[in-house]
Amino acid sequence: MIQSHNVKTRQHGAATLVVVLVLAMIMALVSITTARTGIMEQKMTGNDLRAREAQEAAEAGLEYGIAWASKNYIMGDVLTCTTANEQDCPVHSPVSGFSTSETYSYTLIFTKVTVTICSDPTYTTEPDCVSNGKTWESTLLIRVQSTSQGVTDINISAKAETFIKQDSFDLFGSGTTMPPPWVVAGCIQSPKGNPDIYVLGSSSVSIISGSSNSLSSCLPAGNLTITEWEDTNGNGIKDNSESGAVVSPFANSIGNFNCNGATNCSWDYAFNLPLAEAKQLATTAGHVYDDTTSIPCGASSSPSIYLINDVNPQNSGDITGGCSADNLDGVDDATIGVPHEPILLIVPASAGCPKFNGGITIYGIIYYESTSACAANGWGGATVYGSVIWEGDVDRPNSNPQFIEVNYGSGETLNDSFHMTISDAARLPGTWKDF
Amino acid sequence: MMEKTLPNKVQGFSLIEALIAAVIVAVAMLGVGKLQGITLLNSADSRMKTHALNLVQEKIEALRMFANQSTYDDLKDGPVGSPDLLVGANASFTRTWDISSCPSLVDTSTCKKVNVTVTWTDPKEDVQTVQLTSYIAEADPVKSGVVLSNY
Repeated sequence: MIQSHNVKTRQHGAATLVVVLVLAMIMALVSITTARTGIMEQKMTGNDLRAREAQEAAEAGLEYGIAWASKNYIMGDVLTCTTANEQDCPVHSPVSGFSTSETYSYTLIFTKVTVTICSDPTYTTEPDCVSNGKTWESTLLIRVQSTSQGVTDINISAKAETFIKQDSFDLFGSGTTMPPPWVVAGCIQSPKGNPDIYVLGSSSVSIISGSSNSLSSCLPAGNLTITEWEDTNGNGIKDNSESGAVVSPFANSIGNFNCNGATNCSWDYAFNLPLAEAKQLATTAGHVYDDTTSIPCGASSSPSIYLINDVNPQNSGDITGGCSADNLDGVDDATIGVPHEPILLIVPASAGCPKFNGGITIYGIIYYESTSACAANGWGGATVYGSVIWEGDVDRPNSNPQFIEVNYGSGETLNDSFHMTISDAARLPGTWKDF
Repeated sequence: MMEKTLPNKVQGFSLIEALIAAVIVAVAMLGVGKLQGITLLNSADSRMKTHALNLVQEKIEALRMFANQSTYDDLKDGPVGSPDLLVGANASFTRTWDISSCPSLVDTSTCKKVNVTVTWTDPKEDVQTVQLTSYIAEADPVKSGVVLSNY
């Protein structure tokens, strides 16, 4: 009996304790929940801070890219710039976060995007545009993408992108295409040797003269052969299988532009930018070559304009660099320019009329400023993908040169292929976005 | 007899039990109270940090929205004149910003580095700081308008 009462008593006391303990536990639970909410809030703030730091770093990268692109030409169709400071890229400088002591590096990707629009913005579709007498033309935009990433914690990352429009010096005017293979302000002597001109269509102009379109007196065909070719594989090189029918010499192929004794007449016919300005751009970029500095092989940095201050004939020995190591089709150590990235070679009047001899391949345009020097000095054996432009009469070309007409687009696209110097850049409103 | 004394004994035990229980509850309450206080302070801290962060970002966006080239060229450390004081929920924030040229860019006139800092004094009398860094490029909105007019 007593024992049973004792047990009951103990149980009664323990029950109070248990209730209290349960109460305390509930309280602990409640406070832990509150604390957890608080901790969560702190985590959110911390995350928010980091995320915004990363976002600002991504935007810093974007702005940096825009600032750089407003003064620099973007090489290639896609240019990726990381912390490795790749060639042709802006110098990378990481953004440091103050509040979290994290440093953010960013990757910039510049992508060239071609958009076709109407010359009059009222018309938004091609048929509308063309039927109203406007031109449906392509314009070049750059998409700049910036991705920031934490240096110590690589999981923090943010992205931002926008489109910009670069403004370059217009070497070629809007709608202008590459000039014909031969542009002569004066007349030519009857060609000797085996010179060939390859045109892109039977209606293409192969030779154009600024003084006369008389076949017999001014533009004699001589040994010149004009053949059609088509770049079917699009590699920019005339492969053996790509030449077609022989076009009867000069038929349908003489255009005319009237020089009437104007200075730099051929230049003004082909280009939009004044000659003096083009020379200045080349000089500023350090693209001046004389008999002590050799011409580099391959593609040029921006702008693709070289000033050739050398009176001596240009041979393969006047070209430096190991471009054959790049294993690029149609490019070897004696090649100036590369397919689709032509170079304008300006030979100023003071340098006379140096010949470009055999073994050299030139992608681009050669311009002789002198009105008289070339009358007694024709052309070497070099192969030219593009044009040769003379300001005066031209002696007969000899040996076996080839002049090949190419299509590098028109206007902006053509200026872009010549890597023309960028003068400015503008953002396209409404293209900004982040991720 | 036995049955009459026993309930008394039980009641005596109950009082002590209740006292012990009260002490335990009090101690627990104390802990909970302390924790609650810390939590409250911390969440207040978080809230102020978020608020400060918003103020910082607001300023960066405001600086980014420059009207034209000359306002961009004129961007300078701020605030000019009276301090930029902003009243928050339970603290007042002071905002400052400094503008320098972007590092390692050849043409420094086209890119500016912006540091915006917001400071405030928390309830523990400690000075707290939040800062964000970004760059601003010289991309004149007027030029954007010109480009857009061609589309």
